[in-house]
Amino acid sequence: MDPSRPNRILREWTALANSARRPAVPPRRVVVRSGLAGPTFAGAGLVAVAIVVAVVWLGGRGPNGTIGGRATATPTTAAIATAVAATPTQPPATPAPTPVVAPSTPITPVATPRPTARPTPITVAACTPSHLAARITLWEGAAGHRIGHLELKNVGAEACKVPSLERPQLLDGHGTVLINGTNPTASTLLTVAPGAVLKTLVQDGNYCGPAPAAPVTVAFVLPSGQKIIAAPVSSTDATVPPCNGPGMPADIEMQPWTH
Amino acid sequence: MYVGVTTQMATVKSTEITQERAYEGAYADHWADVFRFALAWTNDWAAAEDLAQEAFLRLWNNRGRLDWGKPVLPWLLVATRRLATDRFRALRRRLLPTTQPASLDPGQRDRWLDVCAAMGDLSSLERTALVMTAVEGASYEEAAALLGTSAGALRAAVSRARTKLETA
Repeated sequence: MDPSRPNRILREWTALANSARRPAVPPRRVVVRSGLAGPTFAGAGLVAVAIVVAVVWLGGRGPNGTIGGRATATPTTAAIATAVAATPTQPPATPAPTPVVAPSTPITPVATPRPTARPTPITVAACTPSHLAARITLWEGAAGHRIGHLELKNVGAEACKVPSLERPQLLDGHGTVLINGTNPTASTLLTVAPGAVLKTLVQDGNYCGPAPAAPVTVAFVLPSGQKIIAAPVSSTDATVPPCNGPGMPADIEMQPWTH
Repeated sequence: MYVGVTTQMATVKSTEITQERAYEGAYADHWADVFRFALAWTNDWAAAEDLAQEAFLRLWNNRGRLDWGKPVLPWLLVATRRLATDRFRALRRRLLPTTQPASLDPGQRDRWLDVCAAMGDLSSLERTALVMTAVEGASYEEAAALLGTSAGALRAAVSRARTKLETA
């Protein structure tokens, strides 16, 4: 015990903090000049032309692989003209020459084999806990907190969507909630392909309750109310974050899931 | 009509100039206060410099909505605390290694590392509560309002902070 030590430390802290040098110019948000708009529109116009040309080139392949095998070049040319005309800085569009197709032999319809690959579903369903397997790979200590490294794998056969943020919870071995997080105010949806793994970090702190039953783990509450419960680091892990202040609430929060 | 529009434009321009001057004045007067507050909260020199800049950037972005007749320091300190407690910023700060303060000369850097280590046992609330009351001269009520807690909790935090520093 040294009662004068806090004052000594604070004097030194103050002396050093007062030596900080303020940057000369106060910060201001950089404004994007409107002069960029012209080139940007021009660039967008060129991209549109490139896309349309690519569509013409790819879409115009005949059954035998020849380019321009379809006799629908005129509307496509009109599309090019429209795209070019939409570019404010470009000169008026000159109609592109219509591809002339002169097949030496009459084209006979050939039965093209139907693709056997399963079409990609247009809509991806929301993930349910049965689609997903979460696990804690590591707990590490931080100043007054713990940080858990977690993985989430899509173990289903189909891709599904999961919110990038959920409400995290710290659970004991009986499933009792030790620390309850808050519902995210904003979250995006991530598509998780079969077998793909997402990662996140969860931080918890200030657990001042009784010693929990092992194993302690983390759960994520989905918007549907269902929980994804992560596999604990070990079956005997009963460590919880340190109690920093009994009067202060415990906390648990997560970073967004990322691929 | 043209006279009216011109007058209106001149008023807007004049308001913008007034706000800009007020902003520059606040930066000159309060940057050091904001930096010390951020340093107390984070115990990280480089993070405190970043936070001070971000708090002023937020002030700049809100300059049109502020009542410049009122003291701006409380607004800045609350903004700094909110920025500092942003969940991802806090996580990042805890996960990433602390960068050496480049703006300190080598002698000061060693002294800072000693002080930083001594203050490192305190929580952000304890450290800031102690600095605000013992260094900045704020009352428990003022400090509690800025830190978003009660005067009682702040008093307890100051007491814990002193005990930790005495026994460390």
